[in-house]
Amino acid sequence: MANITLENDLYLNVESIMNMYKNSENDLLAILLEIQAIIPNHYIPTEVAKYVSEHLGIKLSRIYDVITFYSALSDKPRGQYVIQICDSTACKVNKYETLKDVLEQQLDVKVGETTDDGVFTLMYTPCFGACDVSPAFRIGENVYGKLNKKKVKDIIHNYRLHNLKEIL
Amino acid sequence: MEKSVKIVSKNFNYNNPESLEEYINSGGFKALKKVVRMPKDEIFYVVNVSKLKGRGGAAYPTGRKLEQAAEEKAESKVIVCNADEGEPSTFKDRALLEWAPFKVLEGMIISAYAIGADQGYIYIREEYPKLQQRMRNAIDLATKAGFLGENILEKGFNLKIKVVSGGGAYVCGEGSALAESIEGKSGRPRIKPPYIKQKGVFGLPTCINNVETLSIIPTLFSKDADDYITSGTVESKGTKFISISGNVSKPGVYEIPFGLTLREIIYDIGGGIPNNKKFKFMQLGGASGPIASEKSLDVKYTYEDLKENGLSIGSGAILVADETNNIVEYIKTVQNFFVHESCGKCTPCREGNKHLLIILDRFIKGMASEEDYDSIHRITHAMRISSFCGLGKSCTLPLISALKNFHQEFDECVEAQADPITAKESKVIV
Repeated sequence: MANITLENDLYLNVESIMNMYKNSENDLLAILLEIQAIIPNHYIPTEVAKYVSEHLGIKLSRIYDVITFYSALSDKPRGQYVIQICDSTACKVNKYETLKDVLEQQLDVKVGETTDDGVFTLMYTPCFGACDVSPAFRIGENVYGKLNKKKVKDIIHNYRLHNLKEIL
Repeated sequence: MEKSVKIVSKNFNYNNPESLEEYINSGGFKALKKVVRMPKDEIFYVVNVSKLKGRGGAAYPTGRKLEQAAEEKAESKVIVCNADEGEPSTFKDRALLEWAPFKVLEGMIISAYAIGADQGYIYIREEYPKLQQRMRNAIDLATKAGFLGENILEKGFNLKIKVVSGGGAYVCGEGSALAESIEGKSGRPRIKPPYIKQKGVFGLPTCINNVETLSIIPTLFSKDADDYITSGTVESKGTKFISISGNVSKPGVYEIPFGLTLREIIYDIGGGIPNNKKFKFMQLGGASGPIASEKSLDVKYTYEDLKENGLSIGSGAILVADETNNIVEYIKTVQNFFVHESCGKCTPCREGNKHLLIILDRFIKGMASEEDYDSIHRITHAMRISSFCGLGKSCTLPLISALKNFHQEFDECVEAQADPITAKESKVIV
């Protein structure tokens, strides 16, 4: 039963996001970004995509055109925290590969994978404008820069603690 | 001596950039109040005399753009602030939105008044969520204070502005792709004509300007206008916000007068190269900008001098790389970016970029042959002449300029004489 209530909650929240945008098709990108933000695994599940399509009265293919076009949207579940390492030019000359190595070792996954406990997803991303503090990565809205081995370890440690607190 | 200046950024040391009161106390919105009393011709004259060019990268004369937008006849017109700063190693728009949200807004309102726009959109990349919120707050405060909304400053001029988030797509910086994205669609460029200035967002005449361009406009109508106009050179008047990054001691955003040499910018402003390393190359204007060697260090940073030397200002990014960087690997990083960001609509850009990446990978593995040079030239030529939008047309420039300036390093990767650059497995996306 618990699961059904949770699902109902989710649909109510999805509906209120659409209502906030006056159910306007023109705000589809904004609506999908907000929906994704409230889903723990940071993606748009098929059922939710179908629900949005019916509610807004637009074709499902139109929803998937937007989801698959924009990097910020995903149709596949990701970890609770998505670590995006910048692999563009400024971070290249500041050796982002070092960050990648530390993260892969700390999380015991390769870039593109999610940890077994579903907490972290590690991925590359194009430049997000933190070149003044390069090498950098972002986790959701937070940007971490001027990174070295110790800082990366501390950040991961803090996220793990935060996650534990949430569970308990 | 300090070589960076503070003209447009004169009052940018706000305690709280989100405070409208503080902005007004530092002289904010005086320019708007002045502009709404001026005849339109005079507004365009001031912008034209400043020789201000679009600071997003295309360098189209702003005065001309505004005049053309004003000439369009329509019930409703749209002004867009392009804050989709996606060009790698560019972060000056981020800094401007952080430091002076109201100045960007004032520039936008002035431009809207000049062209007769009643709808505005600030399109901010998804990567800057905090700045989206900052601009929403700024819009709310400005509306309450009567600088936005109905009958602005009692001049019968109406303007509503909305913040729209991008979704992480570089191509959305292109005008028509940006318009598609504002309409809630996937951001693929449109066929032209009609041009955006005729039929843009929701089919309305649309005038798109970069954040920096808009933030300069209030200065042109303030008491600092003379300081601005007398900076720089005859052809490149005024100042530019540059983003310095890479292997430099003081990366950051600086306002500089046009006319400094690249050497002054990198060594005096950027603090030079750390760890006693030597300069190797720089890339100007973002990922689609050319690669230059140390031979270009004494070129002056102006539109005209850079053009004469096959370079360009682009977005104002200056990325510096020291001697530890391998040029072929760097170009592969650039190429990876374009493979990721090509929208896939046209074949030359979609396929060309992928094949260039495969070829670069052969160089890195020491498996390239002389034939690969021919392929590079054939593919890049096809992309330049037949790509649908600016992305595919310009993204071959780094590779071509790197081949020209660092040919030897590529030659060393040609089979028979080569040791693979790295034993690590390279990542190829096909």
